[in-house]
Parts: sequence; C-alpha cells; structure tokens
Amino acid sequence: MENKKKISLIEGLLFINGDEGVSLEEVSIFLDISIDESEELIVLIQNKYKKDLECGLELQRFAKNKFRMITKKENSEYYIKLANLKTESRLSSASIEVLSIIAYKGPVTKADVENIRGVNCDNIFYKLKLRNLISEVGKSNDVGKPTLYNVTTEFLKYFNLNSLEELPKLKESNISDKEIFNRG
Amino acid sequence: MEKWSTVNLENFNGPIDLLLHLIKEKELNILEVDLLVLSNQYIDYIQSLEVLNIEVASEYLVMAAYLLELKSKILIPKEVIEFDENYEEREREELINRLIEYHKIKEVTNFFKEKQDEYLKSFSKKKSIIKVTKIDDDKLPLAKNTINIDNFSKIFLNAIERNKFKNLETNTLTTTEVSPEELAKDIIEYFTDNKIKNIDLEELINLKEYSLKMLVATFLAILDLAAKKIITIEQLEEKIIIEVLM
Repeated sequence: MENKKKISLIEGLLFINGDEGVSLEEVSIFLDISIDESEELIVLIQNKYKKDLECGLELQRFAKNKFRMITKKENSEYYIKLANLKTESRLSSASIEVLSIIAYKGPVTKADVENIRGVNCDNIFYKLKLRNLISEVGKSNDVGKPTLYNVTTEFLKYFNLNSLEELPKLKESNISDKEIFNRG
Repeated sequence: MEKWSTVNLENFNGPIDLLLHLIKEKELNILEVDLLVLSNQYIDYIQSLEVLNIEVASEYLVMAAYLLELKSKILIPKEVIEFDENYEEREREELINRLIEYHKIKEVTNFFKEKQDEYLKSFSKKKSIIKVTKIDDDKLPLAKNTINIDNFSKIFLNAIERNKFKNLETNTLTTTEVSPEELAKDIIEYFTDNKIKNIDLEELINLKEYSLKMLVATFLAILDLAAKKIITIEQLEEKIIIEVLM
C-alpha cells in the first residue's frame, strides 16, 4: 500500500475515533505495519495540520502513544460563542486537589485523601469516577479492605500528559526545610 | 455559637486549607507556629462568619474542636499531665505534617488548573458509531436461541406464586446466604449424582424448598451455566429442558 493511502486511512481513523483517540498499536494492527512506521505516519499528519493555516484541526498526543483529533486551540474563542455548544463544567478546585493527591500518591484510598484534605471527599470521588478521571484499581490490605484509586488515561488526556512523570515535582517534605512556608 | 447556624466558607477547600491561609496571612513560619495562637485565630475566623453552610461547616467544626482540645491540653499546668508529657509535641508534629502535606499539593494545583484551561480550548467529537447492514441472527456469536424467554421466566414466576402461600404460614425468619455460584455447583452435582443429562426446569426448581432469594439465585445460576456453555437451555413446547453438555 502506498504511503499516501496509509496516511489517508489513518486520518480517517482519527476522525472516526474522535474524542477517544487512536493508539499507535491500533494503527499498527489496522494497517499491518510496525509501531515505528505508525508513529512516523501519524506524526507526519500532526505536522501537516500544524503547518497548514487553512486547516482548523490539530492532533493532541497524550498518554505517550495516543493521538486525538481536536480543533486548533487558538480558534477556541470563536467556537465558544456558539450557542449550541455542549459545555462540560470545569473541575472545581476541590476536585483538582483530590485529583492531584491521587495522581501523586496513587494508588490511594479515599481515607488517605481525606486525611490530607481534612474534608470528606465522597461526593468528589463519585463525580471523578463518573467522569472517568479516576478508577478503582484494587483493594488495600488495611482493615476493611478499602478500595484503592488511581488516575486514568482519561486523566492524562484531560491534562495533556504523556505520563505521570511529567507532573511537576513535589517539594520535599523535609520538616527541617523551614523555608517552604515563607514564600508567599 | 448560634452564629454557626450559617457559615459560608466556600473560599476554602477545607479546614486545613483555612489553617494554611491563616498561617500565610500572618507570614508565619509553619514550623514555628504557636498552636495556641493558631487555634484562637481559627476559631475567631469561624465565629466571624455570618453565613454558615452546615454541611461544609461540619468539617471546620471538627477541626475547631480538635484545636480546642489541643489548646486545653496545652493550657493545663505541666505537672498535671506528667503521664503524657510528649502530647503537645506529638500532636503539634502531626498537625504540622498534615499542613505540610496539604501545602505540597496546594502548590501544584495551579499546574493542573492551567492544563485544564488548555484542554477546555480543544474540541473533538464523540467516537462515530459505524452502522453496518444488519447481521443475521445465526451469524451472531451467541448460543442458539431455542427458548422463549417469556416461558423461561414464567416458570420462575409460577414458582414464586406458589411460594407466596408457603410464606404465609411461616412465622420465623431465617436468613441463609445463597450464592448463584454455589447453586450452579449444586445443579451440576444433581446431574452427576442422578446420572442424568437433562431435566425439566420446573422439576429442577421444585426439588428444593425455595425461598424467593433462592429462586433469584437459581435463575442467575442457570443463566450463568448457560453463558459458560456448561448447560444448554432448550424449549420443548411448554417445557424448558436443561441439558448438561459434558
């Protein structure tokens, strides 16, 4: 198969899968080509979109090997004006706190998170599970075998991360580091 | 205290957040914070609020109670608390550790907020549903559908009806745990013990004194056995025949 044909097939697949995105593995199975070749071709499309100023689309790379077709971010203000646009509420700062704790400390139990925040988190956990940003990954060995949670691929997509390694480093919890609370 | 009936603390994400704010506002070093002062500040703050949402407030009240306990223990003359002279130090360390842990997370939330703003600028579409022409039933990867599901459920409904009358005479409540897995084993054992390959469903469910719970479990057990291809369910006129495949 010619490269042109492969590229056009991948582009179509990116469109079909939409929000869900396409992984390199899927492309490699779909076209019976190597992962490396899949990546080359998809990156080619990504660059093509980026360069083409007449094109309203771009590709977001997330979770290391997944790609998603989205509208160009710089155009967003125009789309937001559309009356019929479905809106998703942004996460509250409380939800973001819970998500950050899970992202850094996961797998963790709800009690672990509540202990750090000092607040009951039932409702937030429920909402984050509904939005598929966290998922149950097993049971802790503690009394009562509480459920352990971790962040999901959807989380990586939402925050445009390839992996949790891209998270900013947390300050060391060194109790002798007296400066950390004096910075403002 | 009556003022606590309505407090709005929405600017804070919890009591720890408020404590942290109080420390920062006074430009205090958290490790050198005087818990007495902090307790007073915290309680003054809560009391100064006119509008209180009780659900939100409860968390703050727990913290206030904790701080008050801490404060009272600190205020008791030292010789009285000889039995636990490290109390203050330990409690202080624990609270400070919580504050530090929370502060670390608080520091990175901006990263997530910025990333979120970026994400909300991108739009994509839901995955398309690929509509294909209808697949013939016999090409579907399912077991042969030879039963009328209405008939299948009717047998269970009849059994439930019959049991209703039995229950009227019962005046003791016994609860036994029944799991579909155990019943499935039971059913297979029944086949092997009696050296039979098939049985009429109605006959099978009449074998035991079934409670409603039992019936539901049996229903699930039979469906499960069929799904695992251990038995087949077939319909012969009005009767449903269950057959073991092994």
